[in-house]
Amino acid sequence: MPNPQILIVEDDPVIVRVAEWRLTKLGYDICGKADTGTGALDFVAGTRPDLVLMDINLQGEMDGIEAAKKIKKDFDIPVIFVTSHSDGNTLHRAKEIHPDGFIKKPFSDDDLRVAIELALKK
Amino acid sequence: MRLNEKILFSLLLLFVIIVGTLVFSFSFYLKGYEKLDEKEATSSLHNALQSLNASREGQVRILADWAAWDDTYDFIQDPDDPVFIESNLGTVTMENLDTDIFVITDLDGNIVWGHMYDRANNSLSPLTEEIRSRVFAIGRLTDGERQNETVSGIVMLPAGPMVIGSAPVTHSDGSGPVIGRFMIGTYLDAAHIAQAASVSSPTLAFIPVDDSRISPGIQSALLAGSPSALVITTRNSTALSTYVLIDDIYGNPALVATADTPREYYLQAESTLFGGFLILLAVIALVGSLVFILIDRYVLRRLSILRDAADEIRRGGTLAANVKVGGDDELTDVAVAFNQMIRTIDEGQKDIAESRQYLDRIFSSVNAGIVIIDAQTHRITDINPTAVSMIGLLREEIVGVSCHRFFCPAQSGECPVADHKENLDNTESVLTRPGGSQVTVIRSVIRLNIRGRDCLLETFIDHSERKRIEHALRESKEQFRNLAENTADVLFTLDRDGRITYVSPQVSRYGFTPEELKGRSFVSLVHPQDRREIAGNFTKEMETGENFTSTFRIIDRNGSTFWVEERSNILYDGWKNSLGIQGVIRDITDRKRAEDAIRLANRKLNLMNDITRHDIINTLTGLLGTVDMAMDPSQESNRDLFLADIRQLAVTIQKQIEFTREYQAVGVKEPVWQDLSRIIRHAAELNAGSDVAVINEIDAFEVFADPLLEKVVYNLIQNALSYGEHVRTIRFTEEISDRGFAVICEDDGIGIPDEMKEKIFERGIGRNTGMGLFLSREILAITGITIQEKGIYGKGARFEMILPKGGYRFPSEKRG
Repeated sequence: MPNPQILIVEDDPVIVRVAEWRLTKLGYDICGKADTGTGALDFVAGTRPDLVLMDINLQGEMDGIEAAKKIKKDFDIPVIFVTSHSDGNTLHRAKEIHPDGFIKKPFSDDDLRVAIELALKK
Repeated sequence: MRLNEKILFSLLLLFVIIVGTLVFSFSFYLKGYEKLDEKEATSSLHNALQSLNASREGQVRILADWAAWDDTYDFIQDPDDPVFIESNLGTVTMENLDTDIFVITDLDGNIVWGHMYDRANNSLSPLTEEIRSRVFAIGRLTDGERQNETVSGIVMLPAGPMVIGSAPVTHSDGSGPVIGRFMIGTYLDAAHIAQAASVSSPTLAFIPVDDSRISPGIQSALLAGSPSALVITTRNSTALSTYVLIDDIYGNPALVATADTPREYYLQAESTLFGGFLILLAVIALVGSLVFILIDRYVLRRLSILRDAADEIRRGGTLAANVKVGGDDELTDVAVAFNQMIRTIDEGQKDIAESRQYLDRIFSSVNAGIVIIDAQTHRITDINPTAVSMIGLLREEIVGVSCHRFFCPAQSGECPVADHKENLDNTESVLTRPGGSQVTVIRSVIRLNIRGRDCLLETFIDHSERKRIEHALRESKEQFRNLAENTADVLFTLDRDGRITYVSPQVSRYGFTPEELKGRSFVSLVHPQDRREIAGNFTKEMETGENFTSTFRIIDRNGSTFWVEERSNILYDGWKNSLGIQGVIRDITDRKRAEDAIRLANRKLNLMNDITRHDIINTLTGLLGTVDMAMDPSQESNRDLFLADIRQLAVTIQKQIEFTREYQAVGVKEPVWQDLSRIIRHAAELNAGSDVAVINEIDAFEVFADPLLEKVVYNLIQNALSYGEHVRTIRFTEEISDRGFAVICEDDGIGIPDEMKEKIFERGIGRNTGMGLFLSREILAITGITIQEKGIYGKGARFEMILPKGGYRFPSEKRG
């Protein structure tokens, strides 16, 4: 059985590097990386990953919540939000699109593994 | 004069008037009868004259008969015709013709035949020279054109007046030529006069006009009225004399016909009227006496009863007694009215007595001093207990004393009312009491007449307490004025309609004068968005008396908005009627702005906390991941690289934490008014070591901003120095444009690229911490100041800070 293909959407290169290292170590394949919402949509349309690891707070016209909403609607691909935000408004907006998981920064290997496994089994 | 004498006198006067009127009327009537007599006399004389005329006319007919006769005609041509003479010219003819002369002449006036007839002797005699000359003269009357005329008239002759006629001699058929004249004449003798008198008056006479029997007056009157002038005179009490002037044949006044006529009508009327007059006098005397007796019985005697009753009452009889005069006429009514009047007087006296008691009570109990003073002697004649008490002596010690002892003592003989005829009305004065102590009083003095004496009524009230109250009130007002004018708050009063009736001078800080706001609606000063609420509060406050504390905005003369807090309460008059509202307005604009700024700062701080925490967590996520990677044995070769990353990430976290320290200072302190020019000067001094010139062209004005405003100025200068590359000059200026009042900071460096003009204000953008301009914008935003970069890239940076309305002020505008 091939390893699940995961897209990392994050605008902080250090976190991208850490996430990529952790996911690889946990046995997942990184099929791609994007630092904007628009880039993520373009990648999903072409590659169709098994799961998207999405930072909520993205710079640019489209933030992570908006990008996740389109991905779920258009491609029905599970999305896990990765966020350091805990304010009520952001969480409320995130919940409205019924994400497949939440990972709070800073995250550990286990945080990633549990969240990804649960999302893939839905 | 007594009433009966007056009535008697009136009756006598009436009698005299009636008699006078009758005499006058009788005289008038008698004049009429006198006229009748005159008419009768005139008629009588005219009858006589008509009789005379009839004789003359008969003579003329004879003339015509004899003159127009062929025999006469022939006789003139043959004067010696004996037959004619025998047949026609004898005494018989003269007798029959009743003529005294008989003359036939030729045309030259030569007498062909002429004789006079002597009636006594029945004989003819030759014409006298007098007659001849008159005959010739009469012939001259008919010369020339009058040759065919017949003339007739009177000629005055020594023997008496004669009626004489002359006619032209023609053929019997009247044909001519006229060859002579035929004349006859008849003396107006007694027989002829008697004949005329028979148809007029027995006293008829013909008198020559110049006869002495005619008075000169009558003669003149007759000659003045000639011809046929008529004059009537009263000959005596029983007869009138009438005169008529008669001209002779030549047209000259010659003869006066006169006759006496009895005054029959006059005398008869006089007799009748006199009789009637006597009867009338008797009737008047009788009626007058009767009237006097009746008046005496029905009026005068009853009036005497009334008089006696009045005398009885006057002498002390009771007023309640009624007068009885009997009857049911006007005098009875007078008696009833008299009785009613007596009763009214009785009641009036009782009222007067009650009024007197009432006035006495007032006089005694009124809480004002009342003193009656004799205006001549200036001595006090009466005084009420209050005045006695205020003076502090016994009544007996005051009455009879000169008023100057107590009032205006220094003005003895100079009394403004009695001596100078002035009025004193509510005049403040001094009452001097025994011992010299004085009481301030309000005096009024009026002149009045009491029982025929000129007096002064002086009233006064103790004014000491009122003076004290007035003094206290003045002090209170002064204190209030000082308070109102020195407090930072604006004091105001409104009438029931919400119009300003008073506003303290502090209102000038909003550009208004108290005078121009008087009468203006208070609500009109309120910000349009707050007017409904304030108008509602005003109405509710007036209706319920409830006190309100309202916070709202007002608009000043320049249109700037200020926040105020108003506390007010109802203003009542002495009868608890609401007059309006009085209140205080406190300017809370600075407090309001500070509150807004703090609210905004808190919001920004919370946001920044979120952002910063997010940033730190992000960095921490990278840091922890990098630590895990460094600890991974499979990554040992990269461990030094990871450690360097870990250090860098730790430094980043340190900066992020330091930024929070700086940022948390924003909004911590309340915004204040700051002298921008002084801040720029101070910031420039901090950079004094550089070669860049900081030029401060800002005028003296203040900006309402966060106390970190100086850090903003410092950041702008530092940014220019750090990133401007070749900046030589940094200039601070002010500018007024359609966007508002702006403070400009511009330099002559490289400037900001267009795509970075907005990004430079974002957090983390920049070569250093990337926080400087971000923080500057946040600091300015606390009090609504915006900042934008509007320079041209390559020519220098230009930061424009737009100040909100009310967010800056010049020294003269400083409030409270």
